[in-house]
Amino acid sequence: MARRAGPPDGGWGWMVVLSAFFQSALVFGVLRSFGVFFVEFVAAFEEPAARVSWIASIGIAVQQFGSPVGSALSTKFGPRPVVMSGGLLAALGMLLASFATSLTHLYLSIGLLSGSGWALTFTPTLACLSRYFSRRRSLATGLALTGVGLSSFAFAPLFQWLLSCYAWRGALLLVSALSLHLVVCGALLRPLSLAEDPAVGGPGAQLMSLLHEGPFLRYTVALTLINTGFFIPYVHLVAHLQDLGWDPLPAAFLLSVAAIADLVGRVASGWLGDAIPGPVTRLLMLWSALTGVSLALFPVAHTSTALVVLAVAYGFSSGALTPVAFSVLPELVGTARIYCGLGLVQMVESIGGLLGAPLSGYLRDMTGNYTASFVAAGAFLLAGSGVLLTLPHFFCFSAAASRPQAPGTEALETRVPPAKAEGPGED
Amino acid sequence: MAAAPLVVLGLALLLVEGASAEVGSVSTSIEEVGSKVLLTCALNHNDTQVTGHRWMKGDKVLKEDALTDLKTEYEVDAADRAGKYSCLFLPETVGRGDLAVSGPPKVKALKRSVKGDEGDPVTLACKSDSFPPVTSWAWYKMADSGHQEIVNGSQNRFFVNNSEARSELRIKKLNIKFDPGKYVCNGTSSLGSDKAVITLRVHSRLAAFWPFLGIVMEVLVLVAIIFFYEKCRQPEVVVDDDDTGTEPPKSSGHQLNNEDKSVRQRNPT
Repeated sequence: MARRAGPPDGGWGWMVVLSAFFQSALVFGVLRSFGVFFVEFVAAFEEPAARVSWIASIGIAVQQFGSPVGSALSTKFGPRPVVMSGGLLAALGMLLASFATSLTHLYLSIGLLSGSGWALTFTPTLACLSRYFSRRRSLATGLALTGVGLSSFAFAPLFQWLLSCYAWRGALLLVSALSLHLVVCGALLRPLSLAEDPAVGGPGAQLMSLLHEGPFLRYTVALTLINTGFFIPYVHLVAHLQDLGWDPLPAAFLLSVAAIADLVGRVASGWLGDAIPGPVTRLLMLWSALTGVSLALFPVAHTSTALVVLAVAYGFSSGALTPVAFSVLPELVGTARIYCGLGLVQMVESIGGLLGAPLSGYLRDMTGNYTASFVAAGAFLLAGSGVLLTLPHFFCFSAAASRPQAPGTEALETRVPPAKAEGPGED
Repeated sequence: MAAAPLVVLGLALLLVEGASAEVGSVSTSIEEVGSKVLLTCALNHNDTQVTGHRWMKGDKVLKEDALTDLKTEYEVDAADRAGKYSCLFLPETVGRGDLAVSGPPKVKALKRSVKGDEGDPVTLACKSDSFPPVTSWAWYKMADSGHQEIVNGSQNRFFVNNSEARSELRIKKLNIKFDPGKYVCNGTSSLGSDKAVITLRVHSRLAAFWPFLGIVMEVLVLVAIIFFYEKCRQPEVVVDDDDTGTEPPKSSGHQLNNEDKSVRQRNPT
């Protein structure tokens, strides 16, 4: 047979964590630090900043809407070839961008090509990670996602230095070479076949079965609501602080404090998610509710101390909810369907992400300050947490203290680590 | 009222010693004190409470405070004094004074060191916020054999765009052989002229190519290492194929065996 009964929870899994760490750094770190290039593009192509910022918007949109494609391909071929091709595409996009002579070229090369490359890397890698871990899943995910935060710190100065040494064409060439390391990350994703894999069939069948599953759909709705409120502060916090009379330097410092809290939150929550018995859904609800509350309190805080405390609370809880959000999914759909499940979730929740920032901006224009936006963001997060209450096993406080098992995995053998019960009724 | 600025100008033609003017309800005075110039504004009425003061030069805010005095002062370096200043008593409706301090122009480069890519366009810019304003700009390139003047349309690549406080030299297609070097922008007003130097460096298209190639090589090496490492462990798996997995002969453990087997099974090649 030679199929694993359950995830290995270690061993090569830690290399997958490493791969996911670098990979989330290379995808989201690059996206977040691209702002330094925009100044150069505005000068080089003589286009207004609004048109230049479409490059990032197209890239993010392609990455998110393309996630199901990445997932479906990974189910069929395994994550390794898919992520490696994704890395090649992303690097190719940057390479072609260095030869661009107009803004349209950049839309196509960075936005479309690199965006497709990123779509083929992020979701399959995280799903693969979920398959390698069960007992330490949240911790592994949390550690991997710290790549995003750390790279945002590192890449912005790095890109600035590249631009000063080589001007933007040369700098893009080197960012392309940097993105090529995604191929290395893909090579690390050693295929793993688990016992329940044959039971769920190919990508088409998996997608259909997912769409009929109530808990999965409710989870997707919850995440979409959470996503809508999630990104608002990133976009509007600095502006809100300036409205309150803060100078740019202390405002930026406050953002850094929130970012550090975010980083700590990711790892702490990852560890906590594994240490505490019972469904991880409860933790997700806790963290999203906390994020929602801290957001809604922002308009009420006026003193510096209150704002710093709220920023730390927001940073910590929003960082804390990310690894847990990814850990809930395997519990709902099982590790066999994780690729397709994650792809679908990413695609749907991206709608929330796309709507969140413009909605907040619209509220700001209507009311004149950010109070309404922050309260709306908090409301979305609380609504999402509310939907999470409806997920199965949420209120199950039985002595079994077991991780709930998805229907597709009932055929599991008993050859599992005795430390954490895996199946229903096993204690 | 129109006579007041003329009086200021007349006295400013010689070194300004103590001209003063009255504009609305704010009286202003300009005084030279050693190597500095002292600008003073005094509010003539106090029916509204003053909450602060703001000093500006053109559009730039120089200083802002929250003092409630009816008088406010600002000190400028004599060398950098020329320009149009204004003092505002806050809130803004209380009173405003405008002071025009004349002097020879001061020209500043927006970026003293500019880098561009071969074949791409680049813009060099200079500005001056002096008073009286700069009326003519001249650009030239410094060379050992003497300065080379640049006018709008030279070589069909150089284009000069002038406005009262700003001049831009735009080079359309950078040439790596001829264009690098020092460029000078010279601004002249009725009271003199000043210049600024901008150094232009041109990057070759291929400058980043070698590091790029190096990194690509490194990526290929890493991928090769990862695959070879995996393939090297497979001969061990072939030996253990018949092992039922209950008594693993190696200390690396049960897990490792299973992983290798699954790799062998799922390997698409």
